[in-house]
Amino acid sequence: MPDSQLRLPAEALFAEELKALQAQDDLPRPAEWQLSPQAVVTYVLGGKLKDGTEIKPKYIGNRRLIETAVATLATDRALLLLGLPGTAKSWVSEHIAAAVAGDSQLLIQCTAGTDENQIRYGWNYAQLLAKGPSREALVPTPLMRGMEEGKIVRLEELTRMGSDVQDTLITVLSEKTLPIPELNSAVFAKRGFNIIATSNNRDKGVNELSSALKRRFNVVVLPLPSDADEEAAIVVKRVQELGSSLELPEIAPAEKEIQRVVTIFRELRDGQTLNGKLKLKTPSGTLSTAEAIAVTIGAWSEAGHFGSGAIDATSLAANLVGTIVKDPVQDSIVLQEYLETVVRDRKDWRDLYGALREVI
Amino acid sequence: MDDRVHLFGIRHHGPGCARSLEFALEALNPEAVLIEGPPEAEAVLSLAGAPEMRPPLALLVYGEGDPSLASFYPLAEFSPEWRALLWAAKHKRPVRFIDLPASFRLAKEAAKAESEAEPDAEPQPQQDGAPRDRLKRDPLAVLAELSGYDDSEAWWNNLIEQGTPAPELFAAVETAMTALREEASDEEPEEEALWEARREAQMRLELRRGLEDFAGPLAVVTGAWHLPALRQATKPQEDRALLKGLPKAKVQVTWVPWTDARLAVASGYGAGVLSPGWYRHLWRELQRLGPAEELDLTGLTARWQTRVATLLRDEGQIVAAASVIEAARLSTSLAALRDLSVPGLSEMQDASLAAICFGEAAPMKLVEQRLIIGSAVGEVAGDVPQIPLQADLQRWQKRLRLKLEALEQEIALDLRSEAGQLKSSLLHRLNLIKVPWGQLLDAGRSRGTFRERWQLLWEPEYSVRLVEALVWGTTIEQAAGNAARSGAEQSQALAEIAELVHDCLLADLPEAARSCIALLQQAAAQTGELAPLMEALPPLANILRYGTARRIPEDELRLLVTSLTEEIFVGLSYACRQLDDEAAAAMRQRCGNCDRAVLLLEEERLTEDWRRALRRLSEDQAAVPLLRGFALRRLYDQGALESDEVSTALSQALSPAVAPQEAGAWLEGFLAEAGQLLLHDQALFALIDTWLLSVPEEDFTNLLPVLRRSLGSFDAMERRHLLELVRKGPPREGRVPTAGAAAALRTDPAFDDALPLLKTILGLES
Repeated sequence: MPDSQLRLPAEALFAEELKALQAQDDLPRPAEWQLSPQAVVTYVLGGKLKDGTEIKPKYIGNRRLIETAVATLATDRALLLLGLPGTAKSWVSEHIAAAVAGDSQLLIQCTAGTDENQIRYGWNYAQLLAKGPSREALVPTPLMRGMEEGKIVRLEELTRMGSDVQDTLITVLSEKTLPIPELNSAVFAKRGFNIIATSNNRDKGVNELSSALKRRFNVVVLPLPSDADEEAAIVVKRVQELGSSLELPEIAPAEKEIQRVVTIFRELRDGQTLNGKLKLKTPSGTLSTAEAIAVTIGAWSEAGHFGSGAIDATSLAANLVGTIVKDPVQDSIVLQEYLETVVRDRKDWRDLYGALREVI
Repeated sequence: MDDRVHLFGIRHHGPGCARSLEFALEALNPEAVLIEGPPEAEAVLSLAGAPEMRPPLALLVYGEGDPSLASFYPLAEFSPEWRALLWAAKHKRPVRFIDLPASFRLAKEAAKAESEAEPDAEPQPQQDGAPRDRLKRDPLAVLAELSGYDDSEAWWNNLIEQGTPAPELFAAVETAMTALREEASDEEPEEEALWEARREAQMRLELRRGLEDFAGPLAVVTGAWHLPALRQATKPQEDRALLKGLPKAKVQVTWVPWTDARLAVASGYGAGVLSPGWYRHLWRELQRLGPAEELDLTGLTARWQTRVATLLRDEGQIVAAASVIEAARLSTSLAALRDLSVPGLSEMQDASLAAICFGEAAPMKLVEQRLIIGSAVGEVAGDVPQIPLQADLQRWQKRLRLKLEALEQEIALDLRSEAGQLKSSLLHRLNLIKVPWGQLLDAGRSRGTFRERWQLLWEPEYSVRLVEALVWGTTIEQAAGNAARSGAEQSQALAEIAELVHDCLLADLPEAARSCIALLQQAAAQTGELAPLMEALPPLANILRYGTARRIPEDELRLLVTSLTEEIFVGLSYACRQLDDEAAAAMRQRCGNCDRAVLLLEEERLTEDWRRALRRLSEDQAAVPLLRGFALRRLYDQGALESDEVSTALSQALSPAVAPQEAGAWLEGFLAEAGQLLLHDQALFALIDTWLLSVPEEDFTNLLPVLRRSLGSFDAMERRHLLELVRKGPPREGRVPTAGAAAALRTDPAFDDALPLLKTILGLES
């Protein structure tokens, strides 16, 4: 790989670890797998090998979910990873593909513009005109290559492409065959072929999976960070990184404010206060960790360019309201109720209460 | 130790143990079975074999004088003790319970309750939080954990699968226990250690007695923890010395129906079973096996996942058969990945979640409730002695001099007297456990009244209901409280929970009321509808303001009322949009009641918030005009508005640009019951006067019904005065028109022409 490459794929970045795992893995492997399922789980969640090699954790979270995901692939079932933005879906899918097949690069990015030719196969029209329909004139897609080579194919943001295009996957998943009617032939998947798809489960404006397709996947939902401190730590880290790459003006550290943003997001998302004493209504938006990061960056930019130079209640308020209130009627009820029943009674949140009331 | 003794160390409620025990008993064919349990229960053990006895059941031992002192010994169909009882019944072998008599423990508890200042009304389920305590109650689960299993049944099944025949299995358990007990050298408090020592001394003594009484082999079924102690060689007199001088309570014993949900709570012997439904499934799978046969994994997983699918289908979800197959495959594959030979509950759940529920947690909650915990309710045979609640009722009857009669009888109670209050609480409590012996007549609920009239009528089926209510507790107070709590937990309807809160307060159950209040608060936060909240508020506010003759949990109630009102304030103006006439009128009624309730509470912050909500409502152009007018009027009445603010709002609402229908509805809301206001507030009178004169004729005709309706709410005297005021003409600056000035009547032919119509409008024809 050239050194100037901005980002290396997982299998290159962690080649050492994969090699060590492979060397010491004496458990049975499913056909064409590079590692045993147990070793794949160790690769993703981290651990220490018998010879002392340290495997870094790639995903911090519920072990059972990763086990379910890997066991799914081991039963020849396709895997669908669902989750809000910022829950590491693509990250997990890349690493599992790297560990199972040694190759995470068979990737199809699904968009509203993705058509069947990008999923099944396309045609090289020069060849097609010159020789007529033939295998040489066929342009294989990552899916077709994955089937031929017996590898894992990754589909990113599956629900962003149209439902009719999604449904071309049905035959591939149930028959493990890709028919090529033009040539009166078909591609039969080699052992080791499988699909990992990722999708956002709460965004509006996506194409619901048809139930026929959904049934062909085992679904694992990756949750948001399990507690407020963990989530706040993620936000603080990402805000730092983003802020410096955006070259925002330097400002005072904002851990305390970030803690409040994360608290508000978590409480509204979970429909209850952190101490569990009060139930709350939930707004229609997703309030993901990614949005908490965006709110803080927005507040930073506002404070740095126009405000006091430190993120405070005033600079947060407008950004918060803009993120929480997506539906002007329902969500503002939710936010108002939250203000009156929760924010108002928190003594050191007075400033935020005042600032939010002003904005609403 | 005599080799006629065969010790079987079991896990209480462990299906694997139960199956192995059955095989072991079959193989041993003992002459008698000794079981860890209170000997008092022997009186009713013979009933266990009856076909009408359907577990889950519990042996109930309770104090004769005080049923609230009680111990339950729950048994499920998969409990080893229950299987041993059934085996003995089938083979007509005597059964002995060899633990310490429950009367000792109850006497101890009674003494403890007396020594404590305030005895707890609720029986405290014994928590198994301390590791030491857990070790004792469920040592096999601890062993399972040590070997890396989080599901002790899966671990046990793995043992069976490895082909260990039953008798050796129990020997292995005993070896493990001996080691475990040596490791866990005594750190427990002295009192508890002594109690344990006494129990084990008693068991040893019983063992000796058994050996004397029976010639053949004896099967001893006890918690695995006790095995090493039973083997211990002690002198009989030492054991006897330990048991000397223990206080004894008089007790009664009976069988009561139990439920899966309550099996899941720790009580009596053994830790609670976290997943009775799953254990039952395992038990049925195990029952298919012969001795030393392997568990059929495909059957186990497929049948469980099918049950998950069936449950979800019954709830209206579409579950394809293919998904069930995949879930079964995935659970097996997960077990392999986790290095288990039999999939446990967590594998089953992970697989259902991924393959059947598409990763959604909500349906899994249902699975957890219905399948994993289960909803089975036990049944007892008709000849089981059924006493505690009835005995409690009889005691109350005696104390309060009330007779159970199948004739209707009416009684009046004065709640200021103690007897009256007790009677009322008793009847309210009975109603909560669905024994409507008394029915409250003319429930004068809203006022802090001190009189109640009841109609009494005893129906025979109420006795049966008393037995059913045993599930909730052994005294009427306990049972009523628990019944209310569980009702509130299961109900989704706000009105129902509010009703339960109310009932608990009336039934003098402050603890239960407290729990219901918490649930109501939760439900209130989740509801999108305001109407039930607005209806729930006034009665609660009344109780809070006037109190009742009873104890009330004031702080919680105040918190609830506050959060209800806040909730109402926030949603008020949205709830007043897009209503038809009927709905708007109902809403006005509710707003009025809430208004009174809020003012009654006399809390500055609430009043202020309420005014803010009203102001928002009055200014919200999308809200129904009737309610906008009403809100403005409330503000005006409370002096929260300057009169020129009102004038501005009035002229705005009644401006020509506003459709007359709308203006009329607004006016109806504003003027409702406002006779006096109109008579004395000259600016207001002038405003309305001017508006009326400016209405075009056609629109005026359309408005007439509305006008008549709003004026019709004034009383006759007010209407008459109003007419006089009109006759005098529009008031001029500096001249306050009063009824007294009516002497100077103007004579105007036009007015006289209009008079009949005016009288009709004002409803003054007579």
